[in-house]
Formats: sequence, C-alpha cells, structure tokens
Amino acid sequence: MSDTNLANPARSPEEEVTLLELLDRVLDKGVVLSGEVTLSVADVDLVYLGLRVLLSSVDAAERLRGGEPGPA
Amino acid sequence: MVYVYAITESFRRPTTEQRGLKDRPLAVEVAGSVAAVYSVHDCPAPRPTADHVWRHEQVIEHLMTDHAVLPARFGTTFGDDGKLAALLETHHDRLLAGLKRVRGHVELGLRVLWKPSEVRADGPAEPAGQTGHAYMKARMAEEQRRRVEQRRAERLADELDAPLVGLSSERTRRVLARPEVPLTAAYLVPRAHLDAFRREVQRLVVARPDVRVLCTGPWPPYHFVPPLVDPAEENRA
Repeated sequence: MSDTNLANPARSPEEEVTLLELLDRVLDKGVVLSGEVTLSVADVDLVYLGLRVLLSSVDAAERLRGGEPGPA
Repeated sequence: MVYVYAITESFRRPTTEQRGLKDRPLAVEVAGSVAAVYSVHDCPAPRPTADHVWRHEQVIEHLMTDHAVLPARFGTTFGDDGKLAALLETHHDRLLAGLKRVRGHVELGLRVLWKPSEVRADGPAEPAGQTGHAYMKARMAEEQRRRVEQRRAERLADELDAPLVGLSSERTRRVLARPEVPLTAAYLVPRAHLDAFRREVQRLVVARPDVRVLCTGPWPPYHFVPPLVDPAEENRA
C-alpha cells in the first residue's frame, strides 16, 4: 500500500480523489491485448481499500471547491 | 520488455515531447491503420505506484491531443515487439472499430456518495441465532432492507443519470456497488458537449444537497474500449 501512496499527507484531498479515480481506471479498465497484465490481486484491491480515503476526502474537497464538482 | 500505453490511429513519428515510464523514449508499432505506443525497458514490469500510473496516464493524454486513443490497462507488457505486432494484426479490425467509436470523445466519471440508510424496513431485527425462526425472520428483514436500499439507489441513479445520458454517446453505470456509493458511472461525451455536461452536473449538485457528487475528467475512454481477451483468460498473478 505504501507504494501507491494512497495516504500521502502531502497530497491534497482533490489530488487523492483524482488518484483514486485514476487507479480505478488504469488498473481495472482499458484495452487488454493479451493475458499478460502483470498485476497482483492485492494491487487492484488497494483501489477499493482506498475508498475510505475517498470518503474522508469528500468533505475537505467540497470545502475547497465551495461545494462545486468539476474535473478533479 | 515492451510496455504498452495505448492503441491509436496509425502514425509513424513518435513524439519526443513526452517520455514514458522511467523517462524512456516512446516508440510506435504500426499494423495497418492502427498503432501501439510503447517504451522498452530492461527492468521487470513496473509496479502500480502513484508516479508510474500518472506517467502512464500522461502519455495517453498527450496522445489524445492529436489522435483517437484506446488506453491500455496499466501493466500491459510483452517480451518483445514481435508479439505486440502480431496481436495488433490479429485484432486490427476490432481495434480500428474501437478507435472510430471513441474518436472526438472523452470520458467523464461520476461517483455519488450518500449516507446508507440505517432504518430497517420493518423495525429492528431480532437477535439472530436464538431460534431458527428468529434467525430466519432476521434474515428476511435484512433482505427486505437491502431491497429497499437498492430501489432507493436506483431511483437516485435514474434521477441523476438521465440528463447526463442525454449529453453522452454512451454510458456505463453501477448502482450501489458499495453501501456508501449509490452510483458510479462513466460517460463517453463528445468534446463539443463537455461544457454542457459540467453545467448539468453542477445543476445536479445544487438540486440534491443530500448527496455528494464527484465528477472527474476528462479521461481517456478507459471504460469504452473493445474487449479483445476472454475475461476468463485474463491472467492476473
């Protein structure tokens, strides 16, 4: 988990939300050209474990944005 | 080791403005009307660290400025470019159709958060395990609660989703993937509709202050790529 730095305190809540959304895409979506996708199940599970970080970041992100969404 | 970032329309001159993982130069393998953008590495396949996934994404977004792109899943590697070329030829027509599908579009993501309902459909459940009857009654109450929550999530998803679908070419969604997340969706949006899509999301945020709406993007079209490999054959270590 430390490799993905999901809980990096230096990262802003908006950046954490964006990173989680990015991980959700690059690790689980996209073209699979062959069976050789070199990821461990544990690496993919980190995205969903990170959802709690996402939830805790929502309030902070909303305060920063004034309640507005938009591309992160 | 060849590391692949994306499939794109055929072109021969690799960009020098953008570097790949570990700052390796990008190269292009062309097969007919499609091409794969990759970099060559001596080391083992990269781990999905924050830096590596961001660089993977940066390469794809750079390509998107000038080309239709099908982003590759992180960690797509080959022993040599010969294998890559063979697969491009094998899947050429499907990849070309996929590029046509996403050309002129971007992906926008929507994730809605709420506080899960704690109200049971028929009152508090009896402690399970005291008798078989009590246990079954508690299970039935739990199932009823689950169904009520599912319907609540579906109503919310339909309300939030409908106006956005009208601005999109395609959409994929999951309802109540987790108790706290009634809706997760990805939209394939024509670039010309991007501003209107964002305004509509803002309108939804104002209309539903009881939920939290997170809109991210524009992303490459990760959710809208053609399937090439039987999911049962995907080999994750």
